[in-house]
Amino acid sequence: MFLYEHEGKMLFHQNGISIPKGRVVYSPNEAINAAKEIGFPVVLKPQILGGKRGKAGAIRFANNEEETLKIARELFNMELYGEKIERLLVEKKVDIAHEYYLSLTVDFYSRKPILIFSTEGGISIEEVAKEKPHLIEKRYLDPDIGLTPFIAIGVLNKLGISGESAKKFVKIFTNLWKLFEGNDLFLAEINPLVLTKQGDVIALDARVVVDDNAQIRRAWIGELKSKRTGKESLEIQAKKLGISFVILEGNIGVIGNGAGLTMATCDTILELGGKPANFLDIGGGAGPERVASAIDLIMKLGNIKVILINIFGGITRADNVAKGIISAIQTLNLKIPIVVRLRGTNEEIGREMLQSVGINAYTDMIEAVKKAIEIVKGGNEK
Amino acid sequence: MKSLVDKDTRVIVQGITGSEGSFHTKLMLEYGTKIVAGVTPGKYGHQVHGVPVYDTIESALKEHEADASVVFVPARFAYNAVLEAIYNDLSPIVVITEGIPTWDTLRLVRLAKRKGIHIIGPNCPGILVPNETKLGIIPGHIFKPGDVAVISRSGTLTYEIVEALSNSGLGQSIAIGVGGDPIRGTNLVEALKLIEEHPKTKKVVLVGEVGGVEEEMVAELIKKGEITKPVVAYIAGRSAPPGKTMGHSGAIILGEAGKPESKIRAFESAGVPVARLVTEIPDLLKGI
Repeated sequence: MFLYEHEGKMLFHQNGISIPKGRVVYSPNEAINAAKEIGFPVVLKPQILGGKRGKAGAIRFANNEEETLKIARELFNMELYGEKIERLLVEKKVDIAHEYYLSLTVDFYSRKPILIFSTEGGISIEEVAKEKPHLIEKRYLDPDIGLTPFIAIGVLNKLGISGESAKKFVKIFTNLWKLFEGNDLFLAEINPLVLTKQGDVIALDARVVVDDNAQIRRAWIGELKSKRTGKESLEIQAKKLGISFVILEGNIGVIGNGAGLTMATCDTILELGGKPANFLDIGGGAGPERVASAIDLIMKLGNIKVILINIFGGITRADNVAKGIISAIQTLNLKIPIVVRLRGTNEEIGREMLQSVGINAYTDMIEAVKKAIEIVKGGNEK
Repeated sequence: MKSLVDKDTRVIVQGITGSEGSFHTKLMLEYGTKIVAGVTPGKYGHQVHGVPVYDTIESALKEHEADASVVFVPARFAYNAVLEAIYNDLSPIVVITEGIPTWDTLRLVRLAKRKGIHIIGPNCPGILVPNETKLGIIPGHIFKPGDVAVISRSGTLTYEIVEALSNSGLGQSIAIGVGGDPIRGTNLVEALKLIEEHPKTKKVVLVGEVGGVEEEMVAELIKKGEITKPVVAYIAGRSAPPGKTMGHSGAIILGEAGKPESKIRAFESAGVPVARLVTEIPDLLKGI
């Protein structure tokens, strides 16, 4: 799960990494109050999960109440990288002497944590890597040793920071490691990490990605999830039902069993000229209730022209899937056509059950996908 | 190579008394897998489909000889279960469990590698050698013996592909589901290296997906000539938006890494045919 900047900064703060004084606000009026409390000048930063806010001109400064109100109103009316802006982080503006880059990532391929530090911060590290690779220091870390002060100082020395200056950074390095390793993070990135004119080292931004699997031992992950809104809340609601759900942009609702098969179903729709509205994996061994909730979830998306259900049952029983489809049609009073492809355990029973409600299940995946696309393009044949 | 598993591999099932563990023990026994014992702490003295159950692997090993383990233990307890299998030198350890924290897997794999132990998974369907044995949950009836190996990051998609192969008269030598987590005991590169040494395999179907860089690394290896057996690839997740986990926690695009187009490009530049549709795989295999 990606964290919002303010969520990441809360983790930083709790782990001894300095951040600017700030507050999250949900309306222009709140923004004024926050700014007054913090003291001008302030910076207003939209809280979104992806994209480059700076490049989009969405990180704005305000010197007084009037400016704060004007800018906050503008930002709350904006959409950035497809995300509606629902909250701003209002922060004290910092006097920057120099910007650095610091991150810890789990490298899935080498199965090791990686430390990346650069004396060139504030722009994307990919750009620095392309143009000034000599200003980046990258180290694979041994998870049993971690990021110790001597490793941190070694990295700083490499980029020409030594003595008293190096000492200032060490605490941030080791605290970031503690946070990273102790909270099941995939990524903890500070860009920029700044040295202020007053000589303090402060994290001006926070990009944090946490391992969803760690929720079984980290209650805070679940707490953050329960506060999510919009599209994401539907996806999180699905997860509670044992369903993996990702909203896409098309009009063919997709249900499959198993992540790979469901992805392949979405891909095949694209390949053959259609547009999947979503990715939805009902998981292994789904009973009729889960199938019915899956259909219910997809119907909440709106703009659905047809639902395509692709099942290759191993643990999942085809008759359970059929039961779920029938119950969804009845309880939701579904008018939308459903195309079903059914293979695997108890296939024949499932097929007969579906016939009783007028659905002829396909055995071939490609034919089923073609049929769904044809319905979208051609009309409303059941 | 000594085959990863074969009809003589003696297997312990960890978490055998749970509903999944017990159900799949039955199916594995029916397929011919030599299951010698089951382990669930606190269930010593029970039997599951005729298989005796022990509290620990150590006590099971006092009564039975065993080579490998299949783990069905729930995520919360899986770290300890796998640790126990490593401690007792079982190999391969096939971890079916979904939802193990990635940092735990990272530590387990490091320990296993130090001892030369193979972990398959976690979050995987397991290994199947047609008409010999299966360790895991892959349905046996869709397989036909032959010389095509299927290596895959997905479960159900593997079944789909295996059935398509069988229907086209292309039998299989082995199927390895390496799993859907971001870090696994055996990644695609390591699996392909194992297959390179596998005498019964002549051709390989490699099923990758969005997320990570393993497919690109495989392509690199093929370019260098370190893999000589011909490969056909399929990449799932071309419809995935950045930053979203597509069911598998490893199926996520983070920044530039993990994009399906980059994987397809890498394969194509290594001369590996990439199927756009699952149904194209048999014909592409016949052509290489």
